[in-house]
Amino acid sequence: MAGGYWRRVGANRTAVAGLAVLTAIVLLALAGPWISQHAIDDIFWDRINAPPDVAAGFYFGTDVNGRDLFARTLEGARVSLMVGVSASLISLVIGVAWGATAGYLGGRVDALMMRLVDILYSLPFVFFVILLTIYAGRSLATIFVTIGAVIWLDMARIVRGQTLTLKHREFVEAARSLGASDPRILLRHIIPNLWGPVIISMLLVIPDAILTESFLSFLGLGVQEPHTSWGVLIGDGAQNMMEAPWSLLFPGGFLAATLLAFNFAGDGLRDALDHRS
Amino acid sequence: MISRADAMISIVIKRVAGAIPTLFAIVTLTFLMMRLTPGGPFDRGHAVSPEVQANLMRAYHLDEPLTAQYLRYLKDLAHGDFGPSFTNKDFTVTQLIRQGFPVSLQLGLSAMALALVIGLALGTYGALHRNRPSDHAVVAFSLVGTIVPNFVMAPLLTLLFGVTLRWLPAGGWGDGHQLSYKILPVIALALPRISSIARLSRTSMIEALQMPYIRTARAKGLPRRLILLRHASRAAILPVVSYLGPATAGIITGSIIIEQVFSIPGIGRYFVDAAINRDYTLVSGVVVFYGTIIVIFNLIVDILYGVLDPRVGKR
Amino acid sequence: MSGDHQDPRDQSEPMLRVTSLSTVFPSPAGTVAAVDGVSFSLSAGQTLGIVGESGSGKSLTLYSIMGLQPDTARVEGSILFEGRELLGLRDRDLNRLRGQRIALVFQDPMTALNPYLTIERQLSEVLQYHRGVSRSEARAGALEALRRVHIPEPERQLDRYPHQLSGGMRQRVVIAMAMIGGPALLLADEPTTALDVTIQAEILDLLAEQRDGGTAILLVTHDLGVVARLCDRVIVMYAGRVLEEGDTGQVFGRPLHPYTEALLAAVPRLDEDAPPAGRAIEGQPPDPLALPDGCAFWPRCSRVMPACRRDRPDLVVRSDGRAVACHAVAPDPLASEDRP
Ligand SMILES: Nc1ncnc2c1ncn2[C@@H]1O[C@H](COP(=O)(O)OP(=O)(O)OP(=O)(O)O)[C@@H](O)[C@H]1O
Ligand code: SF4
Ligand SMILES: [Mg+2]
Repeated sequence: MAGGYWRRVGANRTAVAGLAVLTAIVLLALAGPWISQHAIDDIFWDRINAPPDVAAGFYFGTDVNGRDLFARTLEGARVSLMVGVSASLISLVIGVAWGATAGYLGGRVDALMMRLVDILYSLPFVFFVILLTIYAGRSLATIFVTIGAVIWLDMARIVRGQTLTLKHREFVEAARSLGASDPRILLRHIIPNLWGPVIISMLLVIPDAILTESFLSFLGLGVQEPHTSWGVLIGDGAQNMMEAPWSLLFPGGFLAATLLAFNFAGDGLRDALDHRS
Repeated sequence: MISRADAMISIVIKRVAGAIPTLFAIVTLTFLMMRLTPGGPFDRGHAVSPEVQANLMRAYHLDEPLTAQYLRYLKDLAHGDFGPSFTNKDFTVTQLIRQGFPVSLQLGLSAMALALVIGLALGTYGALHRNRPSDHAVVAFSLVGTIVPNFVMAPLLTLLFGVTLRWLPAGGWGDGHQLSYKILPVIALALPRISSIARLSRTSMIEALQMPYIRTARAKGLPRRLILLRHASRAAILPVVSYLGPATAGIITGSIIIEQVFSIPGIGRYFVDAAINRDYTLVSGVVVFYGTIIVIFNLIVDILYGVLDPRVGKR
Repeated sequence: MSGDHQDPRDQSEPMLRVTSLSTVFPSPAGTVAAVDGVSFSLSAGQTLGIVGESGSGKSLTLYSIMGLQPDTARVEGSILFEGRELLGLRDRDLNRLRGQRIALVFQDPMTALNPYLTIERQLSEVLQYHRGVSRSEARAGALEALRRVHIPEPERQLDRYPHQLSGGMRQRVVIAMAMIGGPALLLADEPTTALDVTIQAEILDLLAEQRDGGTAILLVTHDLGVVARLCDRVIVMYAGRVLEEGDTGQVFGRPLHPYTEALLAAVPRLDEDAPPAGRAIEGQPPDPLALPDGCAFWPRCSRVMPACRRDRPDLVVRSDGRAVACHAVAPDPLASEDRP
């Protein structure tokens, strides 16, 4: 069964391409410190806004402060991906707890819990992230906590739907007839069976988180110096694009490629999973 | 029989009743964040000028219990009073919003109108030329438009049309009446919405054209144009109407970026400056203001949907 | 029965002459002829029934006549309407006939009506577009059309939407919509299916009224009883082909083809609650992608012979005016003792 699933994913060429691009970007980001020829904060006074120069190791050129953009773009990748993954893990915890509880308990509780999700859903959540980061300060940790705290809604909806269908499966009924308590059934029997749809929604939530972080950082409301992220780089590059368009194009291209790859991979995996049932 | 007018009225009442909790959620969340977060504006030890401190004391009655403050906050909001600005001691939040809003509104409405016109045209065109090269071009365009974020696209457009080609001003808003200054920002703001609307309407138009009642219309000998405009358009446009809610939120969020990139004196500019300077009251005021606009717009969209789909609210 | 409604115009060229009509779908597994060499003709004031199991190509035959087949289909043969070849006409030219000279009553009234438009709009647009009448004249025409199909409280129904009507009312609206342009040829696709018996009877009366007014009717149905009541002649279709054709009385009284015989045997005799005819025939209709060689019916036929699996029987017109496609039926009724 699982073999059939992966074969279908393999048959979906865009999904495979998406996963391949994602893998490449993650590997590049991790290998950044070793493959960059220059440190992220080394300043080359003779190379302010210099175009790409492969021979000298400035593969993506330099920025307005004479820093190596290749090293900085990969550092940005590390930070952006980390924010994306951390925020989506937080949304995973909240979303699974919320959705599974609502779906499992059902009835009034479910209606109330999901109504709250609906309300939050219609709020302009980026504004609340900004509000939160103002109050809580702008450390990396607050950024992914606040993003995670507002993007768990999709996860909660998906998990609830899945729980509703799992609730009446034989193994759950069996556990219940053996006298297992509700929390135990949830933790032991329902949540472990949610992985499929949850992984897919992770693939859709991560790019959301990355995008939100980049949005904040672009405006100067997110990641602060000395850290950097794609959003920070794009913001700097936009300020500086008349002299050094590459300082906008490289981080912008990486961000767009990443979002596209997540999109393709997520859609492809969802198709493959839908087929299974 | 319940008449359609009665049905509509009951829909409106139901929707309005549904919007009220959302409004309360926005206001209450904002209030609680302002009052309860450590490091928030009312925390002692903030280096604010004595005038601002005095303004705050007066406006928020910080000596009263929390519930009293909350009720007072609600009452002031109901009167359109968002309190004093935290960093601009000469302005209230309401004044600042009133200054920026006309510009932002013009930008947002133009972008929405453009997105609807171009998006629907592209989507319909794609649906009518399904699987031909021009259709593939529409699909590819809308994919790129949805994926590439505003804050990458807007600078790129400026670079291309403002700097390299010099066709249009690269930034600014002119004196507010010059069209040339508005073209780029409106296009940049509309682009993601154009893409989404094109994609949505293409799919829904393809589906609509396959409905059996389209064959009925053809059997009546109606011309293609009439079939498209009268018979297929309704079903095709409904998903786009549902999307108008999220699209409004997207345009408001996007306008923050666009106003920043093009240096446009709208609410978004104030908002970002306020956020950077930690002007808590101004940021909160804008959040409540925009939150309210989004809720109201969603309400209008819901009602519009009810008007367009006779089956809504009826069994 | 067949002589009851003869019209003097019968002697001349028929209103509709369909010759070797084939509607073919190209598919990766080879082409599928969903309608395969169908021929018949129909004169003013006449009613021709088409019967056959689900999927035998009845609806598609009607659609092909009006040029409404799916985009992927290819239509071949000849369709002469009032002496004019319809096949190959552009939509623009067909539109002059559609809704005016030729009209179609669709099979499923639930989906045939546009859920977003009022009944009035859907009726009056025919008059507005084809006759260029004003909106108010068109409304009056729509009202008149609803009256003609005996819809209760027609004024009120005008401003309602399809989902507010019962199935029987919708079916009548669909019929009114087909009749509003005063067509010379009415193609009716199962106009009585899914209606209760009293409404069925009313609808049949309506169609009979039309026919008596000179309209030619091509009636597709599962219900052999309906054919017996209304049709002068009948065609039996199977897997896209005509297996038998003749006067209704003769065909139903003394079926020649084993398939017709099986269809008739499956008709419930006494009770009306029994499942629709055709269900009770043994075996399944063939997969259009994998038609058997020879006669398409042989896997289910009680009189199958070796030749049946090899050669496809042609539709042969006999000297008594009936036509049948079966190896087991002798072509000449005088020489035959085929049906004792
Ligand atoms: N779009 C299509 N592509 C391929 N084949 C099609 C298509 N539409 C119809 N067909 C084929 O045409 C055949 C005849 O369909 P049709 O609707 O005419 O049957 P019918 O006799 O009206 O059946 P019913 O009694 O169920 O209405 C179907 O069995 C199907 O194989
Ligand atoms: S040709 Fe043969 S198989 Fe076909 S109906 Fe006649 S007897 Fe049966
Ligand atoms: Mg049919």
